[in-house]
Amino acid sequence: MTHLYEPQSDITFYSSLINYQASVLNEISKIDYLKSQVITQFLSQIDDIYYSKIIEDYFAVLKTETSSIITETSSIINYEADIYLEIESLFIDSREIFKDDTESNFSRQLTAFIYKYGIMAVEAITGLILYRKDIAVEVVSEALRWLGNINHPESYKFRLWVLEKCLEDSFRNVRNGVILGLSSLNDPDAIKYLRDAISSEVSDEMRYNMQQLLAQLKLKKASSLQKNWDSYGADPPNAFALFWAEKTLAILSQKRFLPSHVAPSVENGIGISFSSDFFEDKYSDIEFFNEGNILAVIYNRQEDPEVWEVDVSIEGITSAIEKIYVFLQQ
Amino acid sequence: MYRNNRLVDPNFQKDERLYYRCQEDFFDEKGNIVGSSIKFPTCSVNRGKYSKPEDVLLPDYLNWGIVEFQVGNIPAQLKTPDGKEFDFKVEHDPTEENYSHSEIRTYKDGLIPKTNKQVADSVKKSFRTIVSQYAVVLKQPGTITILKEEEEIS
Repeated sequence: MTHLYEPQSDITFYSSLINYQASVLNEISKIDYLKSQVITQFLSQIDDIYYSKIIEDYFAVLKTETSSIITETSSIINYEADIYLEIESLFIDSREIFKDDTESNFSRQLTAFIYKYGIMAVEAITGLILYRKDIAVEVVSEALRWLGNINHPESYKFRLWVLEKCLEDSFRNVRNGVILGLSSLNDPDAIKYLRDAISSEVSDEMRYNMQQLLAQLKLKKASSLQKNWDSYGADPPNAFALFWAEKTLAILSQKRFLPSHVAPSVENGIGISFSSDFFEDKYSDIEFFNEGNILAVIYNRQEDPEVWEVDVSIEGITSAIEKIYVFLQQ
Repeated sequence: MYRNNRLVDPNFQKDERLYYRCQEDFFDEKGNIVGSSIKFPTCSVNRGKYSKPEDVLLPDYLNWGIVEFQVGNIPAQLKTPDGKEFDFKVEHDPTEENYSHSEIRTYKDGLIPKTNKQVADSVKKSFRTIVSQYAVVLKQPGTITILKEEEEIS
């Protein structure tokens, strides 16, 4: 799948970058040498001393400028190489045991690098993550988690791209880091990549975590709609609907009960729907209306739908979820 | 599509198809539309007798999906727990640009309620749930394929 934001793919691998830049410099030097040869030959053919002098001065300036570009480029390359080596040693030397809900020495240093060196640091980290060698999977996972967690707007798209790319990683631990990172970024752009990842995920646990993240991102997407988003004049969901929909997703997460969909409502609000894995005809949803009420329904096509007003409280929603769960299972 | 001075045709057969356009968010992960995607108390549709499914995407919604349901899938009447009755009818409501345009309308005691609030919440929710669950997907959003052959158009 083509990503919207594609960094200069091969060049992101840092050692390749350095080699590439060195070869460019080499070419510049060759050109510079050739230029000198041409100048010498050219000057020898000009009899007029006045014009010869002007041309000689012009090429002297040109030569100085070229040298200065070479010096400047070399210093940038050295600087980038230093950053790369510094970050690489952070990745290779880390021996910590990471926990999902806490910072680590590694994460602190990683974020410090990004704040200090900006995009260059993120490029180096990307190279290390994508072409890792001698780096523990746990370290890569931790790095991905923190790529999603830091507040650094300039590198935002790059970090999002890396996380989306790593959803395809063959290591489960790495994918786990991606899920945590994407959850922190909370960007609906990841929905399409997440759907692909869910369809090919082999671990039940990881698939479950991805589906949970998908529900979270759908809610986020609904929160950014404009008036008339449905072409029939619907309002986007308001703070009431979003607040209680978010609470409901949290309760569902605690109960390990996945909704089949989270979507804006054409009747102004948010709907969280459920379907049964066992009974195709069973359907249920909870709808959070901008007007400040919540309705739930269960339906099986054999009888009229059962609709009830849900009490606007954690207890009310929990009770509705339990009723829906029982309905879908039996 | 254009009306061209044609008269209103009030007769709907129970098996006449009604087309409704849907955006990506209306579909769950299994590809079915959800109850929160159905409009109430008036739901605009195109009738199959006078249009092709894809006409419902004109002029600006070519990337959206299409679902159909039959007239007979729409509940004729729903009652509140305390016995208040609400009736539902599909009515041909052509516009100059779209002769097939129709609306599913709600009636209470033979009249269209002046506001949405005059219809019981349980009735609204039941109606939207039933209609969504009988909807058949003809085209997924973002695709160009109509999944089912349409009826012959008058």
